[in-house]
Amino acid sequence: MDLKTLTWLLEGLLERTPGTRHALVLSRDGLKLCHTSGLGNDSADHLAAIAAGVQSLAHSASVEFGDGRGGVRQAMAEFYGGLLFIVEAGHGTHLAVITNGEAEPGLVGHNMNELVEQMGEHLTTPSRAGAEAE
Amino acid sequence: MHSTTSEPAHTDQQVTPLADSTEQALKIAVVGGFGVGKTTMVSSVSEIRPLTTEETMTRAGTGIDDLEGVEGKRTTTVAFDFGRITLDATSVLYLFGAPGQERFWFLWDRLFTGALGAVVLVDTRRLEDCFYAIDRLEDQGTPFVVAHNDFGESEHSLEDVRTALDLDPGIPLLRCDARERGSAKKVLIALVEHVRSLITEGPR
Repeated sequence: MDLKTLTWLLEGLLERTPGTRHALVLSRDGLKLCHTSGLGNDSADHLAAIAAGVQSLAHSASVEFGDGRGGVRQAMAEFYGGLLFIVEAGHGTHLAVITNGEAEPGLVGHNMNELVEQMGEHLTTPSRAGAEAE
Repeated sequence: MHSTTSEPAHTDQQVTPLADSTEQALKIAVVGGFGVGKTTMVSSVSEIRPLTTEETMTRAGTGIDDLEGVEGKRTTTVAFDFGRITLDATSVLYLFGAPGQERFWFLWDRLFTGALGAVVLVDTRRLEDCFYAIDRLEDQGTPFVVAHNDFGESEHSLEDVRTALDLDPGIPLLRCDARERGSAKKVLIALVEHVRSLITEGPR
């Protein structure tokens, strides 16, 4: 996986999406893979763990209350001072974005999904040896 | 590929409805190190289909999530496990299993809020993994019992485990097999009795 390219793509997302502050790609077991430069390493670790937990719970919600197709399209949290968006970003990864209070949620979600398509196979985190394939 | 939210073993259990007569909800947290069997315990003892937030472990965790002693482990909890047991007509027990790795410890505060007590699971192959849990419970004064999850094959006596953990003699220590409903139940009963004795006899 080319982390440099991924990081560059993440920086591009922030540049074209007003109000966004940080973007991070994480493995679904809660570890950071790469993130934008403004996010410190400790905060990135923390955000990766948070996002994995949120996505997992959102998935449980979709199983319990969804229409049976499964999967989570987007998880979002709104807090004082900003928003957190998380989308699935290819096998075994998620993309998380933190914005300030002025961001336009529709545009953020749209740009994130667009980026996920762009990233395509850059974004795979293989299971550990012996684990079941995707 | 996502969270395991159903287990075939529970298909006959998920029909157990919560009785309308329930008046008292008690909360118990299940804590311990990475890979010690917390999710297994909550799943084996729950009367409802347990909520689990297990994710497949990825190569990003190599060198961070140490699999020594638990090489067969494929998934890990990233939020919490949730299960329920009805005690009697009026009391119901809610179980919250915490995630084990350090990066998820921030979740523990919320899981401990309002908890009657906690079960600390230990694995003698990775004894040091439970030190954080025990220290934290002692610090915050939450009653707890320690259960040695040996999957039915004990190599160490409970006395050895107690010494290795430097455990206060007043804290119950017992053996269990987290996969067995009956065994997991005994651990919970031990915790409830321990909490009761603390209340009736007063804190030591």
